[in-house]
Amino acid sequence: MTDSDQLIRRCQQGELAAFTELFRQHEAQAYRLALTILRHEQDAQDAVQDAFLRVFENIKQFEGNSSFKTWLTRIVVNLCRDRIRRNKVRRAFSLDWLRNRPGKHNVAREVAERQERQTLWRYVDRLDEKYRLPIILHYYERLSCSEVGEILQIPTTTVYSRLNTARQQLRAMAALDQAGAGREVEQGTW
Amino acid sequence: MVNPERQPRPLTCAAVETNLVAYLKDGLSPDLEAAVRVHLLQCPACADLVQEARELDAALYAAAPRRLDRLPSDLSARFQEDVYRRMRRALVFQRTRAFTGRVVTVLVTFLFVVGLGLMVGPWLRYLATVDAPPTPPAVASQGLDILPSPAPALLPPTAAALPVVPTATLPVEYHSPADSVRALLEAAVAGNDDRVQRLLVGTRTRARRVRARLEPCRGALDVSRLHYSTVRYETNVAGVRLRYDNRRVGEVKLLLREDGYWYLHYLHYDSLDSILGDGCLALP
Repeated sequence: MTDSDQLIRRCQQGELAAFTELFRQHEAQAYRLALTILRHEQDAQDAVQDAFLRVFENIKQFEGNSSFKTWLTRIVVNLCRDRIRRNKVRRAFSLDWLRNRPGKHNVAREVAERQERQTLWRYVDRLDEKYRLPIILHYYERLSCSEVGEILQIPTTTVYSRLNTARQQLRAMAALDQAGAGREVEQGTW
Repeated sequence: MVNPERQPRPLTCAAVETNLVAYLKDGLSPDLEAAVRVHLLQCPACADLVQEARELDAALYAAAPRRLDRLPSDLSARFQEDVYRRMRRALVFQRTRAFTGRVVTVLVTFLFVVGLGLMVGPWLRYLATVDAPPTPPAVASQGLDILPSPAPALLPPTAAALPVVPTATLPVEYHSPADSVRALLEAAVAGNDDRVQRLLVGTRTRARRVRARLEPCRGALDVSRLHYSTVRYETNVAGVRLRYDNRRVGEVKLLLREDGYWYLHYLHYDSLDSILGDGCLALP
């Protein structure tokens, strides 16, 4: 039995100290995921609190068929989806706090990279929820496509299909932006 | 496993694009993957598409913010505090709910037991009365004088006159259905309700009904005109058919119990009108 399994067993026996440890282990991941999906800090904090409360209430029902991380991720994703449905308003969001400081690296290069990343993630944020969530879970949470399917409760083939559609939409957005940028440059030159 | 001798089927460019992500993520079947590979070797446009998809894939991985093992300490502390406050509240709620549930369970059980006692108590008292072996009447018969012995044969049904006993005291041996019927009639005519009830097997309502039907017989029954025949239905069920002037007036069903006595089970009358009209067992 792994340490994680033992920790969960202790939680199932109602040991509060074990909950503390479990939450400490997963709070960063859960918060980051909630923040990425909701793009609002207060909403993300509330969602993760709700998620941990749900874990606390339902830990006895966790049978270990999937990993605890997958189980927690599913809870967080479902709570975030509920909040999105309730709010229906996407808020502007910055991922800056999550990024490491530039430090001793090449500043110019890092700025360029950051701009590129921000552009790409801005495209991702413009995707429909249906396509955005698989992107976040797969590329951001580094979950396999089968795990993404398990969390979103869809077949793995559907995950592939959604990622493919997302890829096509991102490609189209990038093409549109480049065309727009080209027109601007043209106008400026003239 | 891919069969090397089998040629993969040719794919269109649209099919390759549809399966692009599955191809990149190694999610295709071996056959389909081989077909995509063959197509890519022959189609530069699709090869470019795959390359572009690979680059986007890598860019998305790279663009994802770095993973943090820990939250900033202030955020973590605030977070833990909020979560624990809500957990404590939930715990209190759970315990309160559990306590309330236990109290309600105990209360419901108590009420159930009390209710059951109220309902079953009279029944038990009644059954104790019924189960007790019938005892000879304490008082002498005031009505019918019927000779109980010898007991009539049970099968086949035969019609025979109920013998009249001139003596006032009757030895009550309920070893045959006819004896029991005689005793019932005797008790009913004599107005000995306790004895009638002791002879009955069934609910108190049924006992009351039988008594009510036999009640009008008091002093109005001419026994010399009353005949009976005994029918054995089962090993422990028999019937005594009553005839008055050779006219069938009713039947008494009897049950042989473990103590060897025949107890009255129920009365059946062919015609309710005749009973009401005559006020007794279809007496003229």
